[in-house]
Amino acid sequence: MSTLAKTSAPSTGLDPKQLRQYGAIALVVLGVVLMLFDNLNLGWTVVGAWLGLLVWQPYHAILIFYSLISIYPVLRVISISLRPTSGLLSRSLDIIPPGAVLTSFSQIFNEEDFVLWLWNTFAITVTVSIVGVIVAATGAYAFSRWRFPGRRPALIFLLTTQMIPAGMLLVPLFVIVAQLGLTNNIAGLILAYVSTAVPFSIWILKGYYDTIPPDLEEAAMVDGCNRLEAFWRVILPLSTPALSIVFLFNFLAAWSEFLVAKVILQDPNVWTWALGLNDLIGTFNTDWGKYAAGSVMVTIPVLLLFMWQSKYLISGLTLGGVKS
Amino acid sequence: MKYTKFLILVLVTLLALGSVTAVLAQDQMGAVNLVIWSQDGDDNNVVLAEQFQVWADTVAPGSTLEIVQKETEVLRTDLLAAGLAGSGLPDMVLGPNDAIGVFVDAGILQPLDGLFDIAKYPYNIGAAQVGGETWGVPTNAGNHLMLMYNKSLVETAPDTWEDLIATAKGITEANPEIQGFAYNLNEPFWFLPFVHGFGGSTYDAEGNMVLDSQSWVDAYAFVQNLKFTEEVVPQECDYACANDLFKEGSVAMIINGDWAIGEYLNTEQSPALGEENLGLAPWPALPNGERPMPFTAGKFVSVPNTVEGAQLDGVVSFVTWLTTDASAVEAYALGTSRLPAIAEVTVDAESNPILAASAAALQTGIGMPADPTLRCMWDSVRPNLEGVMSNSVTPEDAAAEAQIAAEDCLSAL
Amino acid sequence: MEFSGLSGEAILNTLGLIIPLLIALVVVVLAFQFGFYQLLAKAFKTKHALPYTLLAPAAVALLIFMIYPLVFNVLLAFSDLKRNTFPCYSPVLRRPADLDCSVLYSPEYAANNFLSVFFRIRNGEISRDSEGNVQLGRLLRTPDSTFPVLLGRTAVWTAVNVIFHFVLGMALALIMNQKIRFKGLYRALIVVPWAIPGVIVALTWRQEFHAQYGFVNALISAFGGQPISWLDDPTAAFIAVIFVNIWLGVPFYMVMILGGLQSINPEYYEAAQMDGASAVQRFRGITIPLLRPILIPAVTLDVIWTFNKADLIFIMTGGGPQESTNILVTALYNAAFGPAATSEFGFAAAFSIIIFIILFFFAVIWITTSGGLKEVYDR
Repeated sequence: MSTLAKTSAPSTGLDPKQLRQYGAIALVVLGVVLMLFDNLNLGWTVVGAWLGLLVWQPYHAILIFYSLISIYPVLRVISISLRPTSGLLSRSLDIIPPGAVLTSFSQIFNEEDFVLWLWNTFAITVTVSIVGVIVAATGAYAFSRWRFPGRRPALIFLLTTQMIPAGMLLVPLFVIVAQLGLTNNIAGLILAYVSTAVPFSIWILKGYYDTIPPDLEEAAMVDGCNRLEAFWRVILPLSTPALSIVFLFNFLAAWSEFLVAKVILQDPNVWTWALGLNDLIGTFNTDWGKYAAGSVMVTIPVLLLFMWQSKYLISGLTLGGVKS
Repeated sequence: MKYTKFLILVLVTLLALGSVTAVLAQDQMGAVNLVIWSQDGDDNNVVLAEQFQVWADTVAPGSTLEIVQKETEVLRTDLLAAGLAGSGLPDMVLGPNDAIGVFVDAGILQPLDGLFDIAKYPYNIGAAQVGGETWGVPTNAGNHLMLMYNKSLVETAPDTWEDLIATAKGITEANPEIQGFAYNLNEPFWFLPFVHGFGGSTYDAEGNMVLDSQSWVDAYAFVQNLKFTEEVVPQECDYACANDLFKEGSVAMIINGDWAIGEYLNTEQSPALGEENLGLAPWPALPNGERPMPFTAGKFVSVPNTVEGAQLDGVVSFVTWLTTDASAVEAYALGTSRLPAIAEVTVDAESNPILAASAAALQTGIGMPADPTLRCMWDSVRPNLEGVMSNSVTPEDAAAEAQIAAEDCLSAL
Repeated sequence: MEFSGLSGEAILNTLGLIIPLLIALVVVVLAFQFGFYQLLAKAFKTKHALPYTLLAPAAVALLIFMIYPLVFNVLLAFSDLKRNTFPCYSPVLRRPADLDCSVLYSPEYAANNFLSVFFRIRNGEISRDSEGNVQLGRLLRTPDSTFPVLLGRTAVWTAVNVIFHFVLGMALALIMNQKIRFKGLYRALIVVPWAIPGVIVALTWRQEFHAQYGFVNALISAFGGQPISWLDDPTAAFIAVIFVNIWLGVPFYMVMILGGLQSINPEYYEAAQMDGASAVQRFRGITIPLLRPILIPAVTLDVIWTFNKADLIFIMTGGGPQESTNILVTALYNAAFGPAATSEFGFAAAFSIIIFIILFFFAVIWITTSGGLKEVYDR
């Protein structure tokens, strides 16, 4: 797929690479000239430079452009968190706002129960991720290695659970949680999260197990392992990418969930950060500075985790799909 | 005769003892742990907690109050959900009167007529009465919208909309960074006063909901004109936007309710305002000479149906004290920058000009009913008001559509 | 000792809940599994005792938190549960003397609930206009909030989103599959939208679409364009929410497709190139067919997720202005819980079941015609 680069240069006898470089320089110059004519509007230079890059190095130009779009909102939230006033509204597009201060960060620690919210969320999230992985790993193994009656309907049911509209379960869930006496109890929330995470996790893991040849377990069983030991010693270690992806997904989903948490956790002492931050931007008291500072602090860790795991993301998610 | 004297002495002693114990019994009760769901802002909840402590120290030492703050919509859904689930209802609910009708419909509240002396609240108790019974007692009178302005940008409050438009334009001309006027454009609560000013109302004389009379059309046309012909309001502005801009001095005049006064007096939260710069005034007069009339009510304490026994005694004792004891009412009103709801406590214009101005604006309002059908009006007007404010619906169509939507809504109740 | 709300007591409280929960889960689950296995293997003598046992914990979890609520939801659809009948369904509520609670669940209620999704119902009958045509029911308060309109809008929303996700994800993946520098950095940056908590994404973008203070209009004005009232204008608001959801969904496709591309054996391409196949031919002849096993499940899941995507729209626009950005699921949420709700939970349950059925049938048809999930079952 290197045609994109080739077709963009007509075959005039000139070296296409050189021609692209000339074109790039011309576009950059054009951008600067337009800027000089339009009240020193820096935007033209940026556009010119980018178009120049597009001609010279199209792949990088596109990827840089898309990367910027991807991370822009994160930069904006950081920017809001550094503002000296708590108001959200500012026409400034600077990422580091004029008079940047860290007061919002100290305020959210001192004036709100932010660390308590983080702790609650962390405790819930880790438990959900661990329990979810265990439940899904064993369940997926059954789907992958046996042809038992009910297997096909069960797999379809797992897919079907993804089709349930979010609003559909809220009323029943509230009543069930109240009946079981689990209101304000994080155990209730943990069980609810595990149940919602399991179907997708099983799908991912089953796909991955399918790519592992059954001969490996059979060899282990010949060596004296029973079936479960073979699973434990052979399959699980080989499935690290998929297991870490499932853990990551469960972690992310539980870390930022809001609707169900709002139904179950009403007492501020057990709030997760999503509930706490939501409270900061209520209709009548909007404290955007604190909200943004909190958002930065809850986003950065999962973001780093995610970026660090992004290489597993690719193998863990899709290895089950393609036979090569 | 000796015996008679002795008898009298005994009787008097007994009476005295009896009255002392009666007083003690009345004044001292066992500690209660109460939970209140409050729609009020955080600062006002702090005042409520302080007041509760005063009550607890004198009447029921060791009592505690857990205040759970909930937004209007959250309060409504959570109460309905807890009621349906049959557990988790609080001991008290503090909020505006608009949802009281809904909660009464859903069977969540208990009537308060036998528990409180209703005659004590002459101004606005009607806003908490549905079906001839009383479902809430007021902690204050108000919840009314008024004109608020920044005195450093506006010398005297405009008395007519013509004035206001001219003033707003002048301010923006002098400094393009400052918006002359802003308010919560798309919210019906901010729109209803215009309807009232043009002579309209939600219900006709027979009590039917009428949302398509000429007054409604005039009001839609007026607000559409403000935005698209006069261009004095921002292109897009909701509550948070108007509020934020006003607090930092980027907007000179806004329309907001008494609940925001405390926040605006606090210079930490509102650097551009404070007692120096915050001005309050009644709504400016419309071209027909009438002033728009805001809905008025107040914040009310309601009691869920599940509260009984010692909990109920505690609630009644605390709320009676909070809302009728003159010093308590005054402390709460001053602490929250709101107006008292009982006749015994009045606002002194000399010592508290801000509250006096708020009281003057309150006079221009009309009482808001607690009728649960009012909800249909709000819901039916909102999308049509949005249409008018994006210039995609004509005032006539908006009024007609709101009427149809309201009839649909009423028939579903 | 307390720091920002966190005290030793709070930590102990949480651990005191979680650790017993974990221990109880492990003990109960293992004991249950052991007993279940013995029962299956000894009493029923099934040879599939082990897989059933392995699946049992997941099945029980789903039974309590998925199937039971679903059944409950069906029961609700047979009820007349709305605000003023609440007291009939809960013992703690105050029951007015004139409230008739004799029938709690009945097929008549169900018929009424389900028909109300499509038609305007008056006194138990489908209402007709003066010319005798049936009148469609409004799910919200505007004339455009009828079921067909909402379904159409949901279809547009889903189709536009999925197409853009697919095309952009494919384009980025193809580029990323080239030999270029900084690949790891680009990949890490491009997956960022996937990792940011949804609430924060929606609120931030809502602010960027603000007519006066948002980045989008600032950019438009910088190049001499007219600012747009993104969130006050019905069409613009719909474009804005679609834009954000496209932004959200591209990384998933990029990752899936890139993974697929990397696992394709390069020899296929070399052979095709020797045969003189053009890039387009190679793409259509090799890349697409080999990616099929990945693409079909990815598109299936994406259609389902996009169709059901309520939170983004709900936070960005609340379904407004003029209820014009509502899709079926946000209309459901608005009808059941929104500011305009009449708390007609019976009706909302019926509505949710219909949404679910639509999606289910779509998925069944799509999966059987595409055949893409076949190997998931049969392998």
